[in-house]
Amino acid sequence: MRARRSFAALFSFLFACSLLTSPVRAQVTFERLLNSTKEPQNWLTYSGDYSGRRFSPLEQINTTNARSLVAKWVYQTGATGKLETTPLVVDGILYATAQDDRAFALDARTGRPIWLYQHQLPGDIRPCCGRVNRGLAILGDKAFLGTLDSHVIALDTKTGNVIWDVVAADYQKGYSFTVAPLAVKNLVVIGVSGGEYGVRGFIDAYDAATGARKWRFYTVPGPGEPGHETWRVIPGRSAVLRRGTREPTTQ
Amino acid sequence: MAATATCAADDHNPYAADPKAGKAGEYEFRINCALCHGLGAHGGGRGPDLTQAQKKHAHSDAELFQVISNGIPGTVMPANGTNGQGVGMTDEEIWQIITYIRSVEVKAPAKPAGSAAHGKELFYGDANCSLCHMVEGRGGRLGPELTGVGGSRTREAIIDSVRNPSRRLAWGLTEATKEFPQEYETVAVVTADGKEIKGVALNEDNFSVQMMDASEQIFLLEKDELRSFKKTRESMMPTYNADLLSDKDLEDVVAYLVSVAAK
Repeated sequence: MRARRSFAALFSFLFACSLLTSPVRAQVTFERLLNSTKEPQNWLTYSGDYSGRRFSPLEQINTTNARSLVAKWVYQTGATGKLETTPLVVDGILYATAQDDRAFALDARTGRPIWLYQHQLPGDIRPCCGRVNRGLAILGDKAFLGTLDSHVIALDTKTGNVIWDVVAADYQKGYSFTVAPLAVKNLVVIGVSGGEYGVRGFIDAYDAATGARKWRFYTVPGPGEPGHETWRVIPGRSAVLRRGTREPTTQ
Repeated sequence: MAATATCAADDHNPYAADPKAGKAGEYEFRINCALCHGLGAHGGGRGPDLTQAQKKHAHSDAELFQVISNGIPGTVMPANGTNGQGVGMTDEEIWQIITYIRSVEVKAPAKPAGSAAHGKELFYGDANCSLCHMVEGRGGRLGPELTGVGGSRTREAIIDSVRNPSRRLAWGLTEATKEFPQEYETVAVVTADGKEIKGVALNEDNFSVQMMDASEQIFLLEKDELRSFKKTRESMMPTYNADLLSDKDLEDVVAYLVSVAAK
């Protein structure tokens, strides 16, 4: 019991560290994303950093005390189905998504909600494998998500209000987004799902400030492009299920 | 249930332009709709003014029938409901309400007299509206987001909330998509170390409050750790009297908000 209590103290100390600067800093600049490993109290991007290591250098929780971890709080998303999200943590606030394209911000110490956003999904979406959403990207004062009806949406990190909402593809043709976007420089990069329905996969980049699409890269060649004929055998195996990782120093 | 609604909605209104049905519809409207949409369908704190011709979610009678029957997902507009959860009106009563709404609709609302271009200058400039209000992604966060307000509120309602901000504290228009819409009451707290914070609540429960102050800093507070916690129905929005914003300038701001919402 004593061990457990001391660990709880450790744990609250851990959060206290990140909250000493309360009120919270808001802006997540690209520089902070590039150097995210220097902010171990935060988790600024999916996988923790651009190299995708999913590794935290924090040492308070280790192999000897991990077994004495206890739940501090529980937050229910209010949606049923599979929860496949990875939360982000920025200066004491936890941002995450849930089933049916919900997004929310919580006080990381207490689990109490700050805002909750529910995307309005049409009734006839047909995601192949669950109404999941795998997380957000954050840049500046905006959080980005892709939705099951193929929208890309920017939310205000302070209020959850929609800043922009763009349609990337026709969901009725089988396109959907389930991955967490990636914020790079001033762009939001996201890859499409829908391989099960024979879509032509692509990766899109949107201007984080305005939502204007900057480029689209198709993962398979189109008609008339070199190699198009080789894709006829396995139509639709072109969706983008993995987020990109890269050496942050390269362009 | 949905199938019945679809079938019925394929028909046109059997009571269209029937003054008797309109009268019955007015009665139904007062019981079931006016709480949000206001008496006379002039808009309430939460629901849009329905007398203006512009309707975002429904144009034809059949579409209106759908909206009343099924609600608008993602907003606070509930489904009529036939299983005891909603108000449970019959098809006949819904058609009567539609007849009533059509009878009070202003077919061609007067175009705003002001200059939208000058209104935009004022909004982002001398009138300081954008310090607290956001329109199309630009502006502050302390007050309600106003991109759609010109389409869902009358000119009179907008003018009244500028001249008398505390008379009827506004619900945010986009908060409808959120689980816990907050009214824009003013929250003032004193923390354990004596710091005074004044702002609006983003969320509040029995034990904690998550609030934002005028500089848009977010504070995550446990109530039992506060020296004091006070909520008032006095809006943080300054009262814009005619000295602060002339009638003409206010018309220009209204014209700007209407022009944005019409996009």
